[in-house]
Amino acid sequence: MSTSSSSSKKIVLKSADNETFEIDEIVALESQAIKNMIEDECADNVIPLGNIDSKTLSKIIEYCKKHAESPKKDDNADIDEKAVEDLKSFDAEFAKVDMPLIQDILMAANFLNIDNLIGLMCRTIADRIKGKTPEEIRKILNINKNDLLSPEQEAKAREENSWAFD
Amino acid sequence: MSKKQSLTYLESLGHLETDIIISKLNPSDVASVACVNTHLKSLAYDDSIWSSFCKQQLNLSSPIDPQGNLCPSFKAAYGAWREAYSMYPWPLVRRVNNVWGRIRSWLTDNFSAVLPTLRKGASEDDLNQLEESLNVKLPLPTRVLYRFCDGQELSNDESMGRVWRNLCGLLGGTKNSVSLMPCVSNGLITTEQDSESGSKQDGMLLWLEEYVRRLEMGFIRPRQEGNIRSISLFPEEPSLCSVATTSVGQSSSCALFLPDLSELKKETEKYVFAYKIRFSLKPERYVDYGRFSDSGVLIQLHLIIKSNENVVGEINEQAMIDKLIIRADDGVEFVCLGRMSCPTLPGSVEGSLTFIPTRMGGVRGNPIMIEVAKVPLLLPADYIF
Repeated sequence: MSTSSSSSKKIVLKSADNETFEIDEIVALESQAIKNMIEDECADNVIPLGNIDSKTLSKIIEYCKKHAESPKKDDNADIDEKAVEDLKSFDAEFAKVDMPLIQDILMAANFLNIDNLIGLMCRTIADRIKGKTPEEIRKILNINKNDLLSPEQEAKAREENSWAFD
Repeated sequence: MSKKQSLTYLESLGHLETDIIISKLNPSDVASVACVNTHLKSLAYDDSIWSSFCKQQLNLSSPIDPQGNLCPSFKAAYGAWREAYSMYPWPLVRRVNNVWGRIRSWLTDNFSAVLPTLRKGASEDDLNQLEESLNVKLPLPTRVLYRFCDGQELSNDESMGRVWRNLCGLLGGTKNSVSLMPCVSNGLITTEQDSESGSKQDGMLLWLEEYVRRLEMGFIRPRQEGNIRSISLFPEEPSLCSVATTSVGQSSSCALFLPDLSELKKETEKYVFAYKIRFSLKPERYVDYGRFSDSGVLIQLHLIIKSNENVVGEINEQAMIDKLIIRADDGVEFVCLGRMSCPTLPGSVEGSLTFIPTRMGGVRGNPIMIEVAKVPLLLPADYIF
């Protein structure tokens, strides 16, 4: 069922900074949004992605390639555990990037509608917040100073949630 | 992504993503997130999150605090629970809440008369005073159990009558002596400190968890005897009893170890058991001298106690003939209860019940017997009591 790369159909993605990426169609199909475009035959040879920069897009392609190669869970009930483990460790490595890039990947994955990648990025953000104080979370998420609670509001929020801070 | 400089992280995300992120956090993390900034505060105060925390962790479907008061939100209710039990490990509090919840729900369905006898939880002050007056330190799990329910109040309503009150004990009895049934495996008791789950010294909690499991599975059940209902500790499940069927009737027998009466240091009467034999007569088999009988009189219960195949004891009870007329209609069950001891284990008990058929008010005919099938007498080795 796997398609050899030489004979398969190619799709070209163009990033916001005008870099083009030629990929196998099967890789592009990991994105539900692109899949819909192809099925509706409204995709040209080149698909412009005006809100995704090349750094983010190349990461996303890396993810989609790996996941397109891996056997899908629902296809085959007895896929070997090694493949599952392999994909897990790929995901863990993939998520080891800084917070701004995670944020960009998450927004792009949302736009391209790649469910697994949205889940992976959300899990990564949640894991980094777990067990942290409000101050640490502000730092991790690079919280905008304009949106902070007033000292009174913050005192009230801490009082209402005091059970969590002992 | 030029937009990102002007936007706070997470703020530029859709609700789907922030919901996924928050759903992966535990309540303490969400409380922390609530103090980060205005945007995250509004996300973290969404009461649907707290409603699911209340449901998952405390099995609450309405925002009720530990005293049973309605709170303005699930978030407030959850906070009230955390604050009320802040001196204990939270996983331990959840375990205790779970076991009491299951007990109450079983009682509601099966034996609601017990519910009003359950006292409200003891306060921290009550427990401290108790520790002081007894000069003991209670294990944490025991303290939490009493925080949820301070035992039973069996004398608050005199109109119930003495017998009824005595049999409303939540923990049941064997009628011979009210005793707790041994049922927690030694292997399950944690002796190592485990502060995270608070599972140190939790024998009493394990016992209660096993007890409610047996109630839920129907291994032990409330029994109705006359007007009196009580929880019987004798197993009711046929698979846990020894059954003998003969041409004249049927018996089902079981034995329960009585830890509180056993004296392991004694030479004889070391292991004390309670036994319960339920029996019924088959009406159609009562033909004697060509005439039909529909009842019999129990004249003797004979039991042989064996240990390692040697006879170590015998029970020979001559029943009071004029009182024990056993009618054979409708498969009505009759019960023999008693106590016996065995010097070494494993042992067993078996024997027979002897009847004389009755006819026209008189006792006539040849004795008939129902076998009492062999019941093993075992120390529940893996169990604490």
